[in-house]
Amino acid sequence: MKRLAGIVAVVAGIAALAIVGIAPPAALVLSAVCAVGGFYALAGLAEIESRPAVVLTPALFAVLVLFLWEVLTRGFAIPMILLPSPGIIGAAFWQMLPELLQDVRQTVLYAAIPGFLIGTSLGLLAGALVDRSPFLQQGLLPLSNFASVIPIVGVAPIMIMWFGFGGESKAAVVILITFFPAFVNMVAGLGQASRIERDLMTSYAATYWQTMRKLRLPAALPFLFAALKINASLSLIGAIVAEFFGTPVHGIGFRISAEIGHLALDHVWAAILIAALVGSISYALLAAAERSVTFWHPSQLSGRTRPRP
Amino acid sequence: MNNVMTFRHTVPGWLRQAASIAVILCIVLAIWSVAATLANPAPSDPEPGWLPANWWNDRPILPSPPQVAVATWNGLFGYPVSSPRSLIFHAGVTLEAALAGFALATIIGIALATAIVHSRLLDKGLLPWVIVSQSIPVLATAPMIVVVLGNAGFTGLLPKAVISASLAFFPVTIGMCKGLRAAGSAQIELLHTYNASGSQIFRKLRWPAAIPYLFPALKVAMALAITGAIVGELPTGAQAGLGARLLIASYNGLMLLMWATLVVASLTAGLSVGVLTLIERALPRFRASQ
Amino acid sequence: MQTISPAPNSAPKHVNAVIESRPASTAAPHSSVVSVNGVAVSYPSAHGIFQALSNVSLDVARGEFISLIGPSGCGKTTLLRLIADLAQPTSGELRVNGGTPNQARTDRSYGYVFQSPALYPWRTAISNVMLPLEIIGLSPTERQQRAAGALAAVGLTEAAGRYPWQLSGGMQQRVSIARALSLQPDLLLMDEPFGALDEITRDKLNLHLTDLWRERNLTVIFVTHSIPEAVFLSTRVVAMSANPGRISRVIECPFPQRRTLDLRNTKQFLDVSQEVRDALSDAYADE
Ligand SMILES: Nc1ncnc2c1ncn2[C@@H]1O[C@H](COP(=O)(O)OP(=O)(O)O)[C@@H](O)[C@H]1O
Ligand SMILES: [Mg+2]
Repeated sequence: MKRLAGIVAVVAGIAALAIVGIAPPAALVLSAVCAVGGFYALAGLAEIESRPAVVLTPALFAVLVLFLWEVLTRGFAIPMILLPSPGIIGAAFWQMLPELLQDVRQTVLYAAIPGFLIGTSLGLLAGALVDRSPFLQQGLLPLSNFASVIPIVGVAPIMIMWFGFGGESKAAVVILITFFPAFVNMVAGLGQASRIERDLMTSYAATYWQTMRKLRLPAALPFLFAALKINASLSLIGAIVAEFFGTPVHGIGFRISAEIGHLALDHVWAAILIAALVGSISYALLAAAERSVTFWHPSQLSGRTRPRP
Repeated sequence: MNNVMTFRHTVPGWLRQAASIAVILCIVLAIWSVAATLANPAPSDPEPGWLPANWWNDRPILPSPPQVAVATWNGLFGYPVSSPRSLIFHAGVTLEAALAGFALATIIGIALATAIVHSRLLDKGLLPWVIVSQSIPVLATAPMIVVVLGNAGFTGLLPKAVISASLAFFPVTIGMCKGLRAAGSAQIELLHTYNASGSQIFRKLRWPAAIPYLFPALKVAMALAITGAIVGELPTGAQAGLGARLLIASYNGLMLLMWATLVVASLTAGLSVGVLTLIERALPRFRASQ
Repeated sequence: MQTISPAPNSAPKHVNAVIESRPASTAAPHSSVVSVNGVAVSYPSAHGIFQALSNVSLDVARGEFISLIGPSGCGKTTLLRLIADLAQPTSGELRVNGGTPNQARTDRSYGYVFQSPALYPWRTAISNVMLPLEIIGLSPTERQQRAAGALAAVGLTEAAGRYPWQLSGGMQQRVSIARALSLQPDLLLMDEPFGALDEITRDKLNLHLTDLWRERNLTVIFVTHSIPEAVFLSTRVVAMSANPGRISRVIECPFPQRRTLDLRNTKQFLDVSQEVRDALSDAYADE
């Protein structure tokens, strides 16, 4: 029954796409059929627990949403300056790809990555230093909680005045943004080793560095990866938003503000698409690295390896 | 050794924390002062005073602490609240949009989380995308939202609120999904033994169990909403709001205005989140029980 | 330092051989391994000073198996931590192997088994056992050999490559004992090591422990809540009571060194157990 609904949905969908240029009302009717059938079939797929189903469900869900977006924007002839269709965005993306890659190079290579590396390292280092002073730790944690709520991207104009319009000022913004998550997570991560685990090291008369290397840093890894993942996305956001304040003629943020000035919405969407791709790819890489390094952590173990009796 | 221990145990925790904060702020202030002394050229007509003359440079590279304090004070209290030079006025404009977006985000987030925990389709099909979307720079859409809504005839508060909401609903959704699933299976089974209906389980167990997750999510959402509102004020040539103020300061190279605006933006965010924290503390049943 | 060569199946015999040829320990000039002299520990608390231990004195001779037993909060863990130099006394004196606890710790002359196995989850069983050997800077081959020997001594050669979460609670605790043995200490400090295990596993591990103690001529200080366990394992049982934490009675367990589970059905065993029970019921009545 649900399989049948799926087949009907696919057929209706293809038909709707085929005729949306000729007979919009008919295409809209067909797309309604496709939507009902499609979601009904997906609901069936969502009940299945197998690995392919777990991947396929969100993928098909996205396909269905993109399809509806395409047919509805074209069927209702929505003006492009409100919402371009996925097809148009895709075409713009493809046609602009060389330019977009240059933008990525400017924003990611010259601003986000250097800022991420410097800001994160400084934060981790500061966290490791403060770990040695319980007194300072007490005050720094509430202060960094405060820092985490303030809109740090607002320093962008100051950084531009200091470092100019190029990548350096954007990197400086990213450094400031990524510092605190790294700091807070380092402090919290180093606190993860339990008293017994530390006593064990003390009972071996282990040195500070031995305890760090063999116990506290490995135990902190889940927190360090949390910081890396947060910072990966923050550094991209920071670099892009900093570019809204002014930049030379490249950069994702620059592209977005420039194209919006021409009301070229398809180009704007293409720039957003590449930013989304960069963001999710870096997240996926970090998540994969995390899985391989913190395989032992309960959050990674659930469902994969149960304790053997 | 013993003295240290006694000190630790007799001085109350909050006082030690306050002392620690004070020490850190003093260190920051000291570094800032030294840097301001080194960075700024002296003004051409130095006024006599006991602070270094270059602390009062009109076009400072790094404004000195008292300079920023004075600029902030003047921005806040030097003009009537309705004046477009008053930072209170601009903070109000930004806060209004941020609060509207925050409210929108809270409603959407809770509704979406409720739908997700009740529908396997949304759980398996939509939730993964909500999670992925946390790694993409949603804020990049801000200029587009402003322009598109402007074309559709909406200007002023609404586009900014939409931007705020689009940032802020993620933490609420994800927090509430966790929260609504926090009730243990033993607790749910207990209600099953009473033959409770689905909606009874929701009202009597899932919802109350989710409340401790709500406030941490709301605090994150509030911070994001304010950032969203400020960024939403950048692209429009908006005349009012902290973001607009920052942009004007940036175009005209007004260093002091930038610093003062940033300080006010930080205070606004800190106070808004602080109010949420106070509400959370005041309502014992909203606190995590552990 | 002697090494135990990895010969899993013939392990106990082999271990014996190594022990016999061990030089330093038996020729030590001092008679008691641990001597605790009028030790007190107090912590500042909300209601003034809290006495975790007060005027505790105890002498442990080489080869003894001492059990500390008493209500929770009576300072058993604290006493063990003092001996291990993980905490400092407020007053009084402790000697371990004739020196200060700090010297004993820096010489790595004791092995400490904690209440929970405290295995590092990112290390396999054998690499957990190798941890202390890495800290003292043994060469990789030596580490490997010693760790394999220690794992064999607790009968876990098979599980060497498994991660802690793939081991049962009893196996985890055996790995943690192997980890303590890998330093080849003469003194073993054990804080309720079997508290979280079921009765049957506990019996097995008790047998294992008493064999290790006898074969390796170890000195053991052992914290437990179980009277039969204490009486079965020990040469002396130290009953403690709380508030302030102190030793209320010391009871001899005059059984032969080699012990099997049948011992628990003998009249003598039951009598000693009753004696311990009486001592403890006084301690609990204090509360
Ligand atoms: N570092 C400490 N600070 C304050 N009180 C402590 C500390 N360590 C132990 N205590 C107190 O000392 C008492 C004895 O603790 P412990 O030795 O762990 O008891 P036991 O192991 O016999 O259950 C307990 O009441 C405990 O709360
Ligand atoms: Mg204890």
